[in-house]
Amino acid sequence: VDDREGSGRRLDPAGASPSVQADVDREIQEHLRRRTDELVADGMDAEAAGRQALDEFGDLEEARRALTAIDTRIARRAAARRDWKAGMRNLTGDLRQALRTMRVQPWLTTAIVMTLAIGIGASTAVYAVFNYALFRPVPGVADGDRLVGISVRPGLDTPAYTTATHAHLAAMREMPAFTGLAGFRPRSYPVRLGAADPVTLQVAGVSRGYFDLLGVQAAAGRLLRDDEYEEPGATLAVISERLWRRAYGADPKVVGTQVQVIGHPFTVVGVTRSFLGVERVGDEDVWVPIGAQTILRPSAGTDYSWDRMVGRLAPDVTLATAREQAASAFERIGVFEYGDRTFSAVVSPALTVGAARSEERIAPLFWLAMAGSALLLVLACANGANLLLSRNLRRRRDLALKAALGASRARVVRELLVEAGTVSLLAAGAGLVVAAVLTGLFRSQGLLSYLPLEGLEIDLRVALFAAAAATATIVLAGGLPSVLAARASSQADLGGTARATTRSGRLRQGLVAVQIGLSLALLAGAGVLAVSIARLQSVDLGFQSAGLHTFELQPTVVGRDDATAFLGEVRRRLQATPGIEAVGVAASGHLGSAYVREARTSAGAPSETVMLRLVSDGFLDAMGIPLQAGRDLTAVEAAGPWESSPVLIDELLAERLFGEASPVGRTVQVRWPDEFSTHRIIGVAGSTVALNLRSGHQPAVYGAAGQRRAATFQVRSSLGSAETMSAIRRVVHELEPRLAVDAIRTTGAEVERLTAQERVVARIGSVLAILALGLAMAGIYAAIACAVQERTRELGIRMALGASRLAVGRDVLRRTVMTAAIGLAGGLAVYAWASRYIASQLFGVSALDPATVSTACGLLLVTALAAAWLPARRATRVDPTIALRAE
Amino acid sequence: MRDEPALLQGTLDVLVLRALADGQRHGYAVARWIHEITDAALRVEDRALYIALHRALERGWVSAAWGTSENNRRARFYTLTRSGRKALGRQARQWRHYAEAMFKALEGT
Repeated sequence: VDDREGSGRRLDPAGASPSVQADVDREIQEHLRRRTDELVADGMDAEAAGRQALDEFGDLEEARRALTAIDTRIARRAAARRDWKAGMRNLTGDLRQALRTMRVQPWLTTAIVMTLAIGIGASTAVYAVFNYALFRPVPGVADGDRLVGISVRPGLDTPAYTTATHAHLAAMREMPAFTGLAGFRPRSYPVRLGAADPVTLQVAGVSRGYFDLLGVQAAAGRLLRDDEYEEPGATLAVISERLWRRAYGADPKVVGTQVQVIGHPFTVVGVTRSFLGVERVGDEDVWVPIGAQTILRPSAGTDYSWDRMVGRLAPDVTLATAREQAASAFERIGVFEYGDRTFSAVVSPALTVGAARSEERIAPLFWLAMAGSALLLVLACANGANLLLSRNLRRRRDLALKAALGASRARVVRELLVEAGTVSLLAAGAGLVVAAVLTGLFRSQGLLSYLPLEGLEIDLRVALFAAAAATATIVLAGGLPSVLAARASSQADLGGTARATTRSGRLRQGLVAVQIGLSLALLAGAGVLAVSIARLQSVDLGFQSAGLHTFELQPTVVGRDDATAFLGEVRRRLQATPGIEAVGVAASGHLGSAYVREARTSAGAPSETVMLRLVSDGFLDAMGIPLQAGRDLTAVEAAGPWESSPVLIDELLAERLFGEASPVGRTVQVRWPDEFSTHRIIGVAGSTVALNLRSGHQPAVYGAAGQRRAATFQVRSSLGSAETMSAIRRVVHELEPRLAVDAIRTTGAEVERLTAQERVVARIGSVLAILALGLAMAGIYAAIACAVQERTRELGIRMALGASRLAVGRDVLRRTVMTAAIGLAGGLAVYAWASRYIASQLFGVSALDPATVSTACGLLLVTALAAAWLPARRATRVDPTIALRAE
Repeated sequence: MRDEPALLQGTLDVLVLRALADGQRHGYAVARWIHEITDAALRVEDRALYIALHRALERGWVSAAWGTSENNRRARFYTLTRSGRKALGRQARQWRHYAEAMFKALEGT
């Protein structure tokens, strides 16, 4: 038996090959001949035997067609399998070759892998943060992508939102677009867990079917039953797994115990698994039936209402259908409640309003940070390409030998590409490790203070991003060097020395210049961001921040009718506490919030935008705001109503309204809420920062607060922060144990809160810049070390001809400086172009701040020289006699 | 039999495999074996046997190679592969079940 089927046979893939056809014919003919011979041997005459053989065989033509078709398929498949096997053999050969080469130069390989890994890892980590911030799924719910948020607007064409009433919910529940719909109403309430002091927690009142709709599971106990949600006076509570772990150490015995919400006992029936609410994800820790409203808000009774609703889309229902049905449901219930109001429903694909808001805040940061990490990735690729290039150059003779032995240029390129691909793959793996380390760092450092990063992880989307980054590195770092090396190999003479060709030498210098340029862009960007933060944090606040503590009290949440008297008593007791120097009370916090109103000298005069501060007497003193003229409010004046209150204005408003003249004794009109009221000016205060640090000092009016429901305390203390805070808690709890006093902030913390967003960008920027600097340093070192090694012979000749060691070293350094200068010039151009995108994030410093940019240039130049120092020294140690013998 | 192509096809498949169970054979030998063993009860054209053989080849149940036959002529020899042997076992079992069921049904009336 010879000639195995399908081996070495040429095939025409379009149809039956002649050989397949011939084989089929031959087989049939052999069969017929044998049959005929046999019949003849049995005594039949030859002609009849032939006929019978044919007859027994059946339709000859049809048999030929059928057999040929089958055999053609078989042959084609065999050919495909053979090709694939050959391809795999080549690939495994190349891979084996690649691994062999890597083992020969382990340090260089490690350097390349690490370089690329840093680029891939850093950009992946940055992407992971924003992936989490923008696309994070709501934890603890089932099939979150089929959930939609539904809000109610008090009109057809208004951006405002209003609460959803029971009528809204009932009308929406009838729509077939949703398999279920539930409302929720989260509020901050003081909650007492066991014997501890009350803490402020988000407590959400939820409507019938809330947990079932979301698919929330119980980690302990049970969730609410359908009949419990809307029963008036229900005192059941479900707590979050987070709170359960934090406050109860995950003790299952918590089920059946009581928590106090504003002093009212609620029985804990269960714990949700992972779930933290949907409105602003991560906010909610306690859920109560909406029926509990009759206890928590007695005035509202059983008139249930919800801030928002959440619905689950029925299978195959699109968002558009749901929107149509929501609109028609609202049309059907028509105008109600407020007489002339027509309500409209907004069905949003984002489950949470919070997600949409944080998206708005984060989106510009996202692109800035992604641009930064893209720069770093390109930088790493340039570095990796440079290293690969120098490695390939060292192997030029090897490659030239291959070319001489008949390897095509395509084959050499493929081999080198497989090698680069293997390196990139290793780098991608190491990059994921780098990314994991960096995300861990971001998580532990609380990178985004307004967004807890507890759930930050490398998910599928992030892994895909890393894969894309790795692919980019294969193309950028591997492609060019491979093609170049292959071209060089086909031209190189086998006997030649490893002289650096000027072209690849120039290319490597160019890559170093690119690295320096990109580093400059990153360094300068991170630099101005850091300067901006420093300027922002050292803004003149206009008041004395040292020793100042702020907290809010809202006695009405615990049902106190005597809020004004209560707040006054808290203030008196605080003032009587040893170590506390002064206490001022205002209607709102001073940083980040204010009533924005208008003020003018008289009717018809132009009005100024002012921050209206409703304060107690002694407020300016407590804040450390200087009184520049006149006097402060007296206790009696401050206790009176705003309408008849004398006021102080700040120096900015005084200057704008009255110029040089003294405003004391004159009047100012302030609009609040809709009408202007006239007030006598009794004093002038120093100006202060208002809504945010960026907008700087704003004109202000200080007047009496009169009756109040809530207040922000400003406490100036000579005690330490911890002691001050415990003193404040003690005073408040002596008077009202049900209130939570858990958010006492120092002014420093306030400033940090206001600069959170800027600090995120600055931190990411500085991480990227440090990595970039390190990469650039490594890249410069490698490139120059390699160049020196290749020029050993040339240097040796020059020294043999009498060049001094100093001159040789200087020459190496001069080349470095020139490369760096070219890189810096290019980097400056790139940065100048990109600076417009960074400008919007800056405060008090230009994106092209000369001091910062020149510092960055200087730093890079020093880095370049430091990196070149060792190779330069090595060049000066070249022994001419050895160098001349060297290849 | 011509009126029942499905039955015929399945029958031929298993018969072809069975013909090769005792060792390699060329197409003509397979055809003769089937005729003799069934006492020519299955009146089937040789063409159909060849198609069944090639189909088995395509499925990987048999392998084929050109060789020289006992009377020194070129012939294509077929050999049962390992998966062909499995297929034979499987199909033989099915046939036995089928035949027993038919038998029971017919005896029972």
